[in-house]
Amino acid sequence: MQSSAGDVTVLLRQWADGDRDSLDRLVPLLYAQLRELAHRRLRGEDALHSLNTTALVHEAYLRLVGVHSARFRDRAHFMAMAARVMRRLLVDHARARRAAKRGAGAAVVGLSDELAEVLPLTDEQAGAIAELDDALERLARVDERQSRILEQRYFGGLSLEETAEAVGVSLATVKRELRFARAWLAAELRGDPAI
Amino acid sequence: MIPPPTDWAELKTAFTELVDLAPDERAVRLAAITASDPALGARLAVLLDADTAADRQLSRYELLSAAAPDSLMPHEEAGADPLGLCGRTVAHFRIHDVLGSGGMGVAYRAEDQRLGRSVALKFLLPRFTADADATRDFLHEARTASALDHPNICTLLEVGESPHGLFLAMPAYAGETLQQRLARDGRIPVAEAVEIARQVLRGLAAAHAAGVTHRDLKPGNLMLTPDGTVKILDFGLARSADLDLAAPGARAGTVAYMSPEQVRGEAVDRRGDLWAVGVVLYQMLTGERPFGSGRDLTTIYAILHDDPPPPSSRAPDVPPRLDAVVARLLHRDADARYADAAEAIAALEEATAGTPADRVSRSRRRRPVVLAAVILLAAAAAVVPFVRRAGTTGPEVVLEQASVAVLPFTDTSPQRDQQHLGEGVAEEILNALVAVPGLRVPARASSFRFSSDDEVPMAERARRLGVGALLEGSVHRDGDSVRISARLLDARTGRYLWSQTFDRRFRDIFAVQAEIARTVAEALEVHLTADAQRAQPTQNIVAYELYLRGLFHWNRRTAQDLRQAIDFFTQATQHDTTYAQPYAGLALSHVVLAVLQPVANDLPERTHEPAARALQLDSTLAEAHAARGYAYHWQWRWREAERELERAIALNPAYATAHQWYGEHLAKMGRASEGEAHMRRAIELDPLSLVAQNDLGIVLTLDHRYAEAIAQFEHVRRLDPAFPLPLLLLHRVHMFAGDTEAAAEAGRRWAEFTGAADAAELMLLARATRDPALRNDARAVLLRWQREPAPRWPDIAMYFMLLGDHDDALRALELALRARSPMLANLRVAPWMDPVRDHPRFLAVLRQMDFP
Repeated sequence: MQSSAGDVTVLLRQWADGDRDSLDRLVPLLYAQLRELAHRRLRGEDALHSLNTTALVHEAYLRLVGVHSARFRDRAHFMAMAARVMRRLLVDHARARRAAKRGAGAAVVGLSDELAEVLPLTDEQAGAIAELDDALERLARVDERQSRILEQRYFGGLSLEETAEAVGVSLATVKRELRFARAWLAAELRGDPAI
Repeated sequence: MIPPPTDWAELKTAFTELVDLAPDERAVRLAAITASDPALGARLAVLLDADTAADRQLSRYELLSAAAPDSLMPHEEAGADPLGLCGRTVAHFRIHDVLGSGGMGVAYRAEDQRLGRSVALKFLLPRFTADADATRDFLHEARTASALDHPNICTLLEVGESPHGLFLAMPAYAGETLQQRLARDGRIPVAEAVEIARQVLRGLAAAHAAGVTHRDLKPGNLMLTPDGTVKILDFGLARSADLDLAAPGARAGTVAYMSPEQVRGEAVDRRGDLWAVGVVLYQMLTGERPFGSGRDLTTIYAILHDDPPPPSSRAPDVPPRLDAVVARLLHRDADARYADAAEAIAALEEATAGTPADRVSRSRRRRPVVLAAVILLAAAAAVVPFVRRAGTTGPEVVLEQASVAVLPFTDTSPQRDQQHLGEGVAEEILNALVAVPGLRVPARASSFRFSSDDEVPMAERARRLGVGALLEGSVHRDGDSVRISARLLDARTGRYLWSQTFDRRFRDIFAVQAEIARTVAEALEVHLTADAQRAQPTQNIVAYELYLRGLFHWNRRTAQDLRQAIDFFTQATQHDTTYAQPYAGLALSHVVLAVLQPVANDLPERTHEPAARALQLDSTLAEAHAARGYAYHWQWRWREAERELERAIALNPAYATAHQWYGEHLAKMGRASEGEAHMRRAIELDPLSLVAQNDLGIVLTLDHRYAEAIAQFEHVRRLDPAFPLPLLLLHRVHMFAGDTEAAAEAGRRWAEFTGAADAAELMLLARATRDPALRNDARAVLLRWQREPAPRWPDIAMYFMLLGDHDDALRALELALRARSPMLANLRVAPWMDPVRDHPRFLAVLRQMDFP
């Protein structure tokens, strides 16, 4: 699937302006980029490099966002969007993989075999991504900001300083919030019923 | 499980309060909370417990946060051999080891077995050649780029195909990349940074004029060679398709140098390259990249949105005028950048005019050729035009002139023992061509600096020598039979204008040399004068061969070689007492040996007998006049020195050495600007002559122009790091300029490099010139020097002056006078003597030396 630059630019602008649905339409375009990467990679063209997952997802994002450069309000916005796109991509990928394992593969909207090879998630990783996503969804319902901080950290790969900038709070606040959020996440993910 | 928002806020506050308390205190507080609100207490207990285990428990979710690397792409590294080619032979290349690998492919060090030279081979990733169209495009671009033939662009020697894919062969340049240099030094001194940028822009100007853009300019693609030339690598290899942000590996570490339009995926033109120069220049000046060196996402954002702080705000020694140039190169709107590389060069030069950066640039720039000759030459209809610009800021002067450099002929004899013949034949041809009116021929010391097995490509040699054509050849001698092949190469097109092989007996060697010279002249459409076709100088072939052997050693210029040269020349004269050239060779060898060993002051005198004999046989031998004049100079016979050197120049105006010695003589007579002019003329005639370049530094020193002198000596160091003399002169000039640490360092390196002095002593002397606490130790050194069998009185006098001991200095001077030390020749202008210039004792010494 090849998208035109125009589509992407419009979608990015809409998304930047707060249209959440546009992300749903952006992600398939990102997949297209990833497939392209995967295709090249499977042809052995970057045999010299073993890209890790992060790098690959970043590549795809840069391709989509960097190249078509929607106008971002500021750097924080740009970074925050990166984390969100990557989260979507990884989560969809992880879910597709798990669904395929359960035998529902063909029916699931998701990634080609090529992409599965290029983003070789282990069962454990796929499970972790899905759990993390669920937990962040739940957290967002009570504390949107904490959920976003965790999103930046876990899906965006942002440093503490960058997270502070992306979320628009002080570094001290990020540290404090993160301490609590991580404790909450740990408790949540081990299924502790007391919270 | 999610509590209502009010409870959530309460929970967070309580957690934050308790989490860092000591366990005992925390237990007390938790108990209190639980007592008043059991639900809150229970949740808090779970969270506090989870906190202690969070790091361990959550590590499995940190897919990205922990893994996110600073740069997304792996960096190039040497060592690994991904194609497994080390030790194998591909086409006619024997592959040795890996130079590096990166987005483009893998580079190997290899030997071209056909030509016996070492090369760098780049194997390209299949991505670059995935289909026939792509391959064709790629080859087309590569060939276009290789046809650029510019000194600042890496030459492509060959494009080949192999079972391992396409590969490119290029010269294996010595030196390091700018990336390696920056990694080591962080920043580059302003003058050097500007010079590097200027050279890169020059390469770009040529490429852009040919319609080629680079599109992947970065420090890793800029090679800094030991002679100070910058080479742009991988020109034309980066195609837009390979550079978009999606291609894995294709942009390893290069996001930092991408222009905004490139990041946006828009069309990229030459102005994208100018942007990259801006980034590189910024990084050289400040040691930091303008858009950060963090992760790609941050960098891309900065490229699209941020204005970097001006370089001078990060590095105070950057002249503010450079800020404007950098800002213009880094304008986000491509239309607002310089229109082309030439405009950027002009701006760069304007911004640095009059600063030390400028003088470094100027000293590296070739001087315009003498215009007087040009008008005549326009009519001479040169077939090998050489076009060059006389400075970019002034009016453009385009000169066309027939010019040829004669390279030493390669020895292909079975025993490989005829190197002297190869050089001798070439030199004889060179001498014949020098005498041709309208033909410019760089002197031997320059053109012979390239040995036949050198890696420097022909076009590059021609560029450095400033010629349009090159004559190369080989000699093959077996007993009395000799085969000489000669080829005349048009440096601009790379085509052979003429080539011929002569199979003769060795005794016919003169006839062959004359024939080759005549044919070359005809090919260049200039005519040999009767003078150039002068009768062969000896009938005695043994004498001639001994002369060639002497010449071979004379040209090496070391004391040991000079003594061997004297041996061979002497034998040659014994075989033919009427053969003038070996006598001239003897005169030259003696006088240069005299300069190398200034203490043994009977050597200048020994010059005169062979010089007189040479001139008796052939009064037009410029070499003999020059040797005689230079000997007179060291003997303080100023008027005779001047007359002989002027005569040498009149006889052969293209004789670089005569200009050099005359320039030195004039400078010491206090005629600084005339001296400098002759010195620059010598360099123009013999652009790669280290001694001439070095002597220019001496002339500048004697004229109190220390900063220029330092730049000049540094330039000589770069031309040939193995030539140590500039270190000694740097030691001195830094002392005159008051930079004692630089003086100490140069002295140390000179002493360690040559073993001719004691490093600790030179460092002590340098430091003592500014540190009174060291004076006594320094004096002790000088007093010890005085007790040596043949004290170097002029040196001792200089150090005493710098230490402020004027009486001791004057005493040393008087002793130097008594010993008639040749090195006193500079006394009249010696800057270190300035404080005693009116002292009666100093004036008495000057009077006795009878300066004109």
